[in-house]
Amino acid sequence: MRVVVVLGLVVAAMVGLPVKGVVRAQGMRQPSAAVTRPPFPLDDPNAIAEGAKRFSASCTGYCHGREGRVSRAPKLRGKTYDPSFLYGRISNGLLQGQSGLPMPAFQTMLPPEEIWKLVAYIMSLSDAKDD
Amino acid sequence: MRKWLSVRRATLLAILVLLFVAPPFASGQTAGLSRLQNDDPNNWPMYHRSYDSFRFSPLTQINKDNVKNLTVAWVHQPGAIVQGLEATPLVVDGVMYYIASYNRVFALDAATGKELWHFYPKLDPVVNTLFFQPYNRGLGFGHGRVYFGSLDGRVFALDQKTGKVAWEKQVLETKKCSCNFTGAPLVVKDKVIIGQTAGELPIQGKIYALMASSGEKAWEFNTIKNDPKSWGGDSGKFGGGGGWMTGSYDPILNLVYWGTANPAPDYDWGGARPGDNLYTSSVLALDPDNGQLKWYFQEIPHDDWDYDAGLGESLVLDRDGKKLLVHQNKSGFVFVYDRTNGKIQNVWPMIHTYNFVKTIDPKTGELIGRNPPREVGKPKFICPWIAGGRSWNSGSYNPKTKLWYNTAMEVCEEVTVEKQTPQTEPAAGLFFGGDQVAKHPPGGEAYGHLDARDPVTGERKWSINFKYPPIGSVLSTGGGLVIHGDLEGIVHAYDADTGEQLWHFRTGSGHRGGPISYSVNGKQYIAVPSGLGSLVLGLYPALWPEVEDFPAGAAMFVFTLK
Repeated sequence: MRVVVVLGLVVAAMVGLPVKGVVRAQGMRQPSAAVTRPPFPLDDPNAIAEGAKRFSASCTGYCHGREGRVSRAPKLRGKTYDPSFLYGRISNGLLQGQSGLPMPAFQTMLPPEEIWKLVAYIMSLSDAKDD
Repeated sequence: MRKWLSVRRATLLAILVLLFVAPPFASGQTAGLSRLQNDDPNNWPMYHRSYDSFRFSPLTQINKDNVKNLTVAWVHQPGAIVQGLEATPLVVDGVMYYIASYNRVFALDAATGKELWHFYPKLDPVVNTLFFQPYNRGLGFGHGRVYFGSLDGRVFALDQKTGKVAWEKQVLETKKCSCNFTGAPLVVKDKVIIGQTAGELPIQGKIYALMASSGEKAWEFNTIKNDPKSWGGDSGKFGGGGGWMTGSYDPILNLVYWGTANPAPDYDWGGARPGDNLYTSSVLALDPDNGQLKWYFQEIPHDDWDYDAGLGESLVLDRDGKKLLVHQNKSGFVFVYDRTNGKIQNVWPMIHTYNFVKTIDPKTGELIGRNPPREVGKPKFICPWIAGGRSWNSGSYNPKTKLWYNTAMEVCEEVTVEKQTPQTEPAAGLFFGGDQVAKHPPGGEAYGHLDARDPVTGERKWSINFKYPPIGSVLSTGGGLVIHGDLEGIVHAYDADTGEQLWHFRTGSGHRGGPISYSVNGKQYIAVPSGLGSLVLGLYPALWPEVEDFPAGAAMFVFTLK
């Protein structure tokens, strides 16, 4: 019997038949960032202005659209968010968000102060209307 | 009898030892190379199927007369739908290999879809911080191995029969550069060639060649030329570029043709990167043995619009005694070269809607009447949009009809340039230098089209319009068919001569990957990756809000005749 098995393996190898094999699965998650306290009032005009610049550089065209208008990622204008939720979402990202899109995690890219500026800017869009 | 059995066992053992202990690279080399260099019509052994990048299957069993009888043979789902299914599968000797999001690699019986092995790499969590993720566009094959570049900057070689890792090499410092690999490698002789993402990052993008046997780096080519005339000040340190899609190869000239990506920042507020910014937005002809630059042509000198040359297949085409290279730039212009020396033979527009230049000189390739967005904070209307006259999806050239089947987009945008300081710590941050929002062209609605054209002159034979600009690749076949999947999730078969639709099938999610055709045991199949996802989709809802809710997905549909 063993000879038959060995012979089978030899034949399989010689004719190039694929041999089933399974390689272990992946894991890919960062630990969640701790939510800090905002270092400035979230309605601070300077923080909002700097957050707008950061948003324009990192969050618009392909993702949330200019000034948070409609895109594949969620529209951010005219919505009310809890600031801690926004801080966590920006820090940790999403492996699979709306429409099958991922959202990058910014916790290792930006210091907490910069993330809070983004939060301040997005909060400032809560009363904004689409043109 | 016992003695005979022992002798027989010893002989079998010796054969086994020879088979498994002998260097697999040596045994696989011949088979792998012959499969790549001989045009076996049954196979699809590389990203564009052949070194000439035709994406043409010579198979004729499925043809104009019987395509109406196509039916589903099998479906395989990779189990990850984030950013859809962007890849083009490979088929070699009855086995399909494909890669899905999160670098999930599968080997399937190409006749039945039965899984033979899968490989899910353990990816570094840095992937979750990147802009270019978690998609991948394809695999390389050769020397008995399957190759891919990973989201976390490694290159892997897997045994084609088992999926076990033959070698893996960390090529990029992804934690620092925020760059990675998303395009398919090209296997040329004893090397695996692959380019990195970099165009929107303040880094220097490169193209790499690794030894197929070991993964050892053979050479690298920096797409940012070390030349202060080309990059004023220290702008070259942050110049971007790279070559994130797959090139072509001419075995006679022994030249690899590779397109390079846009400079960073994408938009220049005036003085961001003085000079022509070589070798970004260029086509390179490289010696695959040592990476030496034989010639180059910069299609968009000092690119002001993010009009990559990194996307767009390079057709290696001979016509009227001339050795040509046909390359589509993201700007919507097609550049035709003498591929021996890079001299321009023609330049023609494949879109109707453009204002970034008045025109491009068809004799010299010079941009005439440039219209760059430069004024900080003031929106400027530019055509085509940042997704291009076509995205990175590929067309297909049929040597029988001598037509190139290719998609195009008639869409504009409003660009607002903003000054930006490059972020390199703790890791490279996005470096666009502005943002943009999609706009309809003047006097009409934005749309897309699939065209059949002469690739050298641009003469159009037929066109089909789509409401939503398509972003899937095209397949043409010896059976006179053109296969293409649209954004709404319908795969179409057209008559290659007339454009008449002969068959269609709704796969349930839009198309971004590359359909192929192959044959197993005398039976022809057409494989169609379905699953909507892409960075450029984020641009669509500004014009078509309903696209926001188009379903993502990921499934490999395989069709054959009833």
